[in-house]
Formats: sequence, structure tokens, C-alpha cells
Amino acid sequence: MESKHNFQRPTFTFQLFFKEWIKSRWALLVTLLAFVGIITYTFIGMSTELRVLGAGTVWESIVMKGIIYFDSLKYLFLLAGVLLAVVQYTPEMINKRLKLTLHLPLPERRIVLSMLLYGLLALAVLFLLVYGAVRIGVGRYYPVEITQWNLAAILPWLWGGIAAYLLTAWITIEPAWKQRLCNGLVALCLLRLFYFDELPGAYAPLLPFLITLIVLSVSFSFYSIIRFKEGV
Amino acid sequence: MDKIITCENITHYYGSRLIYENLNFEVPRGKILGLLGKNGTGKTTIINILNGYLKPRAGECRLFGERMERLSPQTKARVGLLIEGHIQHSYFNVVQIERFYGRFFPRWKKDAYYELLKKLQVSPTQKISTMSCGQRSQVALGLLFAQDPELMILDDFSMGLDPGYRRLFVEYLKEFASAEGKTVFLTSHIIQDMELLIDDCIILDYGSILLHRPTREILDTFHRFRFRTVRPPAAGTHGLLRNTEKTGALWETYSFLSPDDVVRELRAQGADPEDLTQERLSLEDAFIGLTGKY
Repeated sequence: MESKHNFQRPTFTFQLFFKEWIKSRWALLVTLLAFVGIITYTFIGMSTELRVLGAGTVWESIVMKGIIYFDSLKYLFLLAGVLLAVVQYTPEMINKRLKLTLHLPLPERRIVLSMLLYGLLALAVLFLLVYGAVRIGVGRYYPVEITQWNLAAILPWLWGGIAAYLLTAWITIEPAWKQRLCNGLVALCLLRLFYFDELPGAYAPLLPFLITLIVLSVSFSFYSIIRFKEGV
Repeated sequence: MDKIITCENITHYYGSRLIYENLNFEVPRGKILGLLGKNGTGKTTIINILNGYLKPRAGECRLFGERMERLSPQTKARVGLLIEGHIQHSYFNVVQIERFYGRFFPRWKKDAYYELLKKLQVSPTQKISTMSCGQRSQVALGLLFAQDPELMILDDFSMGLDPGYRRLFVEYLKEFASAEGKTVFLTSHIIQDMELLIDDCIILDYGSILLHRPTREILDTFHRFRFRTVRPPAAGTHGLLRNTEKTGALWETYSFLSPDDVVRELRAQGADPEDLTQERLSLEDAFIGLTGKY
């Protein structure tokens, strides 16, 4: 029976997704509600402004002063990434449950990748919904240039949320507190790169570098896993 | 004989504190081996090394011939692991955890899990985090039985369990181990439970293995001797007499020797033993006799 068992079966990844879903579903719901709340509030403010001040004044303040409507979302992407990583990986580290996870009959690399992939997919879905809502919502009131302007503003924050997820996973899986603090400091410096106060679009030349950083930070968690396995 | 576990020349330190030096042992197929030792002798450490969750300073362990740090999925499926404190993924409920594990293991026996859970007063939707330690132990045991592994590694299985649950655990485990080819490697701080269960016994002292023998042999050949003496013998462990000490009006010592040889040994140490009596020991008493009370 065992010889016929395929230990590489793709459905095993979905089994791991199931475990991650059970851990994170409430956190994802809370994050979604927070985004819905802030976006709704922003749109209400936007339409009130148009009605009270008139389109001309609002237009002038956008063009002349560079006003961005979705400032309040700035750190929500970051918090969403941090929260998801904490709810996914803290239960694994409490009582060293990660031993049970790594003991599943799958290659360890695949187990860790599946857990990270779940988080990245969950954030991708969430952030795409937000991105879509901003695009559609702003597009209803303003021309395409203003919509692009707002989307360009939130794009680095959105990538910052993804980076925050990967870096928090790296910190949480790290078994030693001292090293965790060092990782935390490095993570803060790296995350700062996504949150410089610049005009929308100013990040465009930097985005490939930031995305490379995100891709690289996928590997950081593997380093923590190696240290966990060595019993550091 | 088919070796399921081999540990060769394991040396490990925590900081500068030596845990073991050149630890060697093997566990053949079909045996239940108990690892006994006082707190801090490294029982959990060896289990962590065996499963690849701790890199020793030197030496290597193999499970089913594979190096501990690189176990293949096939080998992991053959090993059932119980972590100290019956730790499980406590965010799952009773049904979810079975559904989660069930797909991974080729020999999964769903009925074995649910049969054990019938004994618990829990609903299918009850979260494991809301269960008592005893109930969690049954969930963990049920999952292990459902996995039907060839080797079970159990770290302090009796931790936090009341006598009823401990007995239940031991009975099920004994039944599991009686099936052909099953091997169990376990630790427990309640040695009474081990006596009912284990074939072989490793007693760890600080830094090394004190003894590795069949349990029956220890129970049959290791005794406590009580005697009177005017001239005191050397206290503690000397030669072939272990943990000699005065308790009340009598002296006592522990040894694998016959009564005549014990008398000879005591005389060689300067004592003049009288009224020497020999007592059979439980495994717990034998453990105390070998390692001392403190």
C-alpha cells in the first residue's frame, strides 16, 4: 500500500492550505472588514467633499497640492501582512508545534513553501480586492489620471504589506529571541524603504528593486527553519 | 536483527554543560525501549536529536537507516511522533484534525481514531485547545494509532495525565506494540508505567548511559540489601555497590551481586554486615538504586 502512496501528491499542498486557513480565517476577516471600513469612509468623504466644495476646488487641491485620498490605508497593508504572519506562525512556534508540521511526510522545503504560498495568495486576493475597489471607486468620480495617481500612491504600500508578511514570518519562525530582535531591526529598515513620503509615482524606478527584495525575503524563512532544526 | 534506531557516538553540550559524550545505542525491530533518567539528563534532547530537531555536537542517529536530519517523506510516514505534553495543532477541532492528517498517511485508519475518541466526552466540533490534558492525550494517541506507524517515538507520554488516563494510554500502547514488527521508543517520568510496558531499558546518568539491559533482567538481578553494621562502609557508589547509605537504624545498598558477594564487598570496604536481607525491587526502586535519590 505504501509503495503506491504518492508522497508528492499536489493535494497535500491544499491540505496544508486547510491548516493555514483554520488558523488565519478570523484574522483575514478582520483585515477585510478594516479595509472595507476605511475605503467606505474614504469614498463617503470624497463624495461629501465634491458636493460641499464643488468639483473645481477639489480638482485644484488634487492637482496643486498633490492630495492623496487613501493615506489612511498606508499602514493597513503593513498591518495586514504582519497580522497574517503572526496568526500563521506563532501557533507553530508555541510549544514547538512546528516539529509536528515538519514531521508530515512531505519534503520540508515544500511544507514551508506551501505555508508561505498560502499567506502570499491570501494577501494577494485581499490586496487585489482593495486595489480594484480603489480603481473602480475613484474612477467613478475622477478622470483616469487621478485614478492612476491614487493607485500609484498605494502600490508601494501594497508591496510593503507583502514584504511585511515575509519578514514577520522570518522573525516569528526564528527560534532564538536575540536573533529575533536582530531580524526585527533588519526588517524595520527594509520596510522603511516602502514607506518614504514621496509623491505618487516616485517609486516607479525603485519598484523592481523592491520586488527583488520581496522575492529574496522568501528565502529568509528557510534560514530560520534551518536554525530551528539545529535546535538553536 | 533489523535495527530501527541507531545512535552512534552522540556528544552534545548545552553551552559548556556536557549532556552526553559518545552515547551509543540501538533499538531493534519489535522492541519497546524506555529511556529513563533524572531531570536534566537529556531524555528529551535525545528524542529531538533522533527526529532531526537538534544537531548534536558530534555523532549521528539513523531511523530506518536514514540520517536523522534528512528523513525522507516515506520514512517520516513510518514514524509516529508524540511531543512532550501531548502537543497537537490545537486550533483544529476533533474532526478537522483527523481530516487534516488522514490524507498524508498511506496506512491511515480513521476508525482507530474515532474508536478511541468515543471514550471522551467531547463533541466533534470541540476545539483541541479547549480540552483537558487527558483528553488531548487521547486525541494525540488516537492520531498515532490511526497513522499506524512502524515506529513510535513518545516523549514523556505520562506528563500531566491522571492515573486513569495513564493506564488507558499504557493499555492501548501495549496492544499496539504487540502487533508484529512495531517498535516503540519512549520516555516517561513515571517509571511505574514503564514497568508494565517496556522490554528494554536505558538508564541515563549525567553525561552517559548508566545501564542498557532488558527490564526483566534488571528486575530479576538488581536488588536492595539491608543490613546492620557497627563499622560503616563507604557511603555512595563504590565498586559494585550502589548508593550505600544509612536509613534509620539500618544501612542499605543496591547491587547486581548475590548476597554472599555483597557481604564480601562490604567487608572489603571495612564494614561488618549482620542480618543482611535481600529485597526484590520495582523498576522505580531499581532506578532510585542505580541513580540515587538526589
